[in-house]
Amino acid sequence: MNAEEFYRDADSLLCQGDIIREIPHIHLRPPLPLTVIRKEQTKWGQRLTPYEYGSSATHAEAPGSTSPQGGFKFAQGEQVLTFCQVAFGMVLSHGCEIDKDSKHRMVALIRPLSGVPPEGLEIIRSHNNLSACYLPAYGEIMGESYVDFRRITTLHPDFLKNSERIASLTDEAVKYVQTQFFRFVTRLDVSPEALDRLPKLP
Amino acid sequence: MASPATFTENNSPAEYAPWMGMTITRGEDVFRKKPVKLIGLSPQATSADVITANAPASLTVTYQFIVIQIIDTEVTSGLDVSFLRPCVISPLGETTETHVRYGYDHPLLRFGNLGYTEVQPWHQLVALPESPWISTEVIQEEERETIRADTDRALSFKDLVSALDRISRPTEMEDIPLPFDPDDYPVV
Repeated sequence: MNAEEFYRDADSLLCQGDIIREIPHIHLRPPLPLTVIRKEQTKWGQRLTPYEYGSSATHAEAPGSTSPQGGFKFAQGEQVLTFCQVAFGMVLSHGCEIDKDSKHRMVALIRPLSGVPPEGLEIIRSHNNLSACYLPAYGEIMGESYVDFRRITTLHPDFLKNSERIASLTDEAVKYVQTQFFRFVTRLDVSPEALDRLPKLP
Repeated sequence: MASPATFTENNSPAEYAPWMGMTITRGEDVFRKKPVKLIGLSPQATSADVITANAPASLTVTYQFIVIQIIDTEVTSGLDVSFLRPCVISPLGETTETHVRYGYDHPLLRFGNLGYTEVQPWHQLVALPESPWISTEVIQEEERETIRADTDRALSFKDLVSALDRISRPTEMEDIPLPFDPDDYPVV
């Protein structure tokens, strides 16, 4: 598919496949241990204090432990220190999900193909790596790229409010991305036509 | 107007083997003389395959066929059926189907088709069945004649079985690792 068959002007509503500029993509990665960040009131005002979870000190109940007051509360959720990149992203949440769910949007990182070694280029363009979903260039706005299915982030929609949606995908292109994602998670070779013939869920 | 005819094999969705030797009453000769013609890769350097199919304009016959794209791998000397596309051509004239290739831009491509005919009254041809992909309808016919799957290229029985097997049970895909670490490259 060329760009004309693949992209269309950004839809008035957020759609599956929309390409958005400057989306935060997080990846929890080493170095360990997990670092919890707590806002704490001190005599100097509110401060962010890091607490390492999983280190030997956190398991010690002795004074001087790095555990926060009251202990870690992962059941309720903690803020943690994590790696983040702000870059192009593609909305993976289905339109029905977007309509119904007001708290979660799944987005995948879009990486540029520029600078990638030639042998890698060929693998991605020919869809031989299942985690990389090739995207043709979109005018001057986005060069040849690929969706990295390994880098999916769940965001609150607020993070998308002020971001720039640069394009939506055509129906055929959405089907293509769905097919590639299906292949990525199942390692099964399914054709876009086969997806068409599956019964739609209400 | 040709009289209605349909399959008499038990071709349930999970069983495709009957297509290899299905029976019809009439219409076979027509399509044996003028089978679907597939024009493989389009001359332009695009990712689209243009598939052109012809059917006799004078008959009220629907021709249903499946396009099979095969990658003939030099290394393994094996065959890999890479896509199967169901198509329907009515006798209203030439039909051109465009198939977009997804990752099979391989120099050694071959095309074939599995085909079968379904003779229908004219009014049914105007509104073709919504899903011609698999017919589960079974109607008993008095006259039976075996028709073999048409191919415009020499496809072996093994190729055809492999193609049909691929429809019902998608095969595992090979994942070729990237020869670089994407994390080493900046995002935009």
